Amino acid sequence: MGKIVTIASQKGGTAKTTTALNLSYSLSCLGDRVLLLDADPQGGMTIATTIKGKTPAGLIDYLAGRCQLKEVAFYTKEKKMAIMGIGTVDPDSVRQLEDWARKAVIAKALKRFSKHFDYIVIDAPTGFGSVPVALLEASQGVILTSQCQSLSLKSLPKMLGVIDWVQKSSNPDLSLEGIVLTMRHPDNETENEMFQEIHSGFPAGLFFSEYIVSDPVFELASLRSVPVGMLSAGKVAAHNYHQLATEYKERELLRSLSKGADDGADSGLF
Amino acid sequence: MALILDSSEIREAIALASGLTATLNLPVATDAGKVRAITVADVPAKIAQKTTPKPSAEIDPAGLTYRGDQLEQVLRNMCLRSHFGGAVVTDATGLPFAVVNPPVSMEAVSAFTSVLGSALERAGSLLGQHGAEYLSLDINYEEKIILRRFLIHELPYFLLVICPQEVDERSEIEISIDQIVSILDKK
Ligand SMILES: Nc1ncnc2c1ncn2[C@@H]1O[C@H](COP(=O)(O)OP(=O)(O)O)[C@@H](O)[C@H]1O
Ligand SMILES: [Mg+2]
Repeated sequence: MGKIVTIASQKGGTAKTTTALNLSYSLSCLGDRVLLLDADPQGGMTIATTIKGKTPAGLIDYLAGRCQLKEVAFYTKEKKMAIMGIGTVDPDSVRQLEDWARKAVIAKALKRFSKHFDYIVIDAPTGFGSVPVALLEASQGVILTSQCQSLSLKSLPKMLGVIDWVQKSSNPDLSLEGIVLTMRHPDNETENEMFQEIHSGFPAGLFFSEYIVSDPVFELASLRSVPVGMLSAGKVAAHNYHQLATEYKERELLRSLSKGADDGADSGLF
Repeated sequence: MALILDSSEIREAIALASGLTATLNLPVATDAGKVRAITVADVPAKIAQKTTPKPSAEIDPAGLTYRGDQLEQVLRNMCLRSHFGGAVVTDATGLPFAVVNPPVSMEAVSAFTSVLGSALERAGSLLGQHGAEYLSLDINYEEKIILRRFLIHELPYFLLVICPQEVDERSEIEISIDQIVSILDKK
């Protein structure tokens, strides 16, 4: 069973989509079988048709029973990761999606998908409507994105509150994997001061130590709807997400080890 | 005056986060990934070096100015002496410091080092042998890959070597590691 990881944020424009796309790509470069799922009807993540094939069908069409998994999930050229778009979006289908969210239809589908992958990385809708909450209820991990700006940081308590609530009320397996700071400007003094405050004020490990630097190549990649790693000008930016992916894997490993140490104390190999 | 720490939203976030991290037992982030002899910008250059020519004669690394060149010379000398196919030194994340004749693309080497490095650590901890630092993997009928983990100031690094299966590589690797450590450890 693969792990379901939702990328979430209370605020729009915090590089949620960019992070979902590029983190998925990096994880796939590290050898994992990854499905990137666009679950945001308003997100406009038009995944490059060169990657996805020509079909507009996606999650919504699958949930409606109009398509099978293999008709809506597509492997990239190098067969590294698979991508599933949101599908046919209209006012009716958006309402339907919310209904499916409440009735755990989405959760069941995700479970089925997870048999075929190591990770399902989900680009969730902004905020905490029924769809993002349903995604959190079906996930084992959640990663939050935030800019290093006061407005973005001040929106964190709402999202942390929702995660806390989902953990306590319905999904104790949900783990907050960390917060990624995106679009960082390491030469901006105010940002750097804020960055210092984050490190002194927040619990250690809450934020990933790798942050994503602001780089115009992300705009270019967004325009073409591809991971930055697929652009020749995007090597450095892609490396940034590779480092984040590596830190993510390290954290997973450390967590599994500390868990193993807790419940496997007297069941060692020898 | 603090920019954000005084705000009520941020204080609320910290309180919530403390609760969440306590139940999750989040590992404390280390700075391991931050200590690097080369910068992110150097990486494309490293990838371009994939076609490093075969070494022809041993050169004394101490005569070279740059640490990267010295490291690379140590690797080159090692390959030359013991007929190793190629060698790479990386940090814990798989980011290469020095490369000689990488067997596959650098991206794959990084991924490979990081995966094997994790496996080594995990295996060590499962067996209760936290000093496990040596991994040998036959990759086909003729060659093997050796991963040797070593520490500098508590931070893990890796030496990855590809060599013929019949070669006894241990002493050569240990000698080279000593040289690598002394170069990396230099202030
Ligand atoms: N590191 C970055 N540097 C520069 N621009 C970025 C970066 N990350 C994202 N962007 C740009 O910011 C905009 C918003 O990002 P997006 O991922 O769509 O946010 P969200 O999904 O949270 O709304 C996009 O135009 C994207 O190209
Ligand atoms: Mg988006």
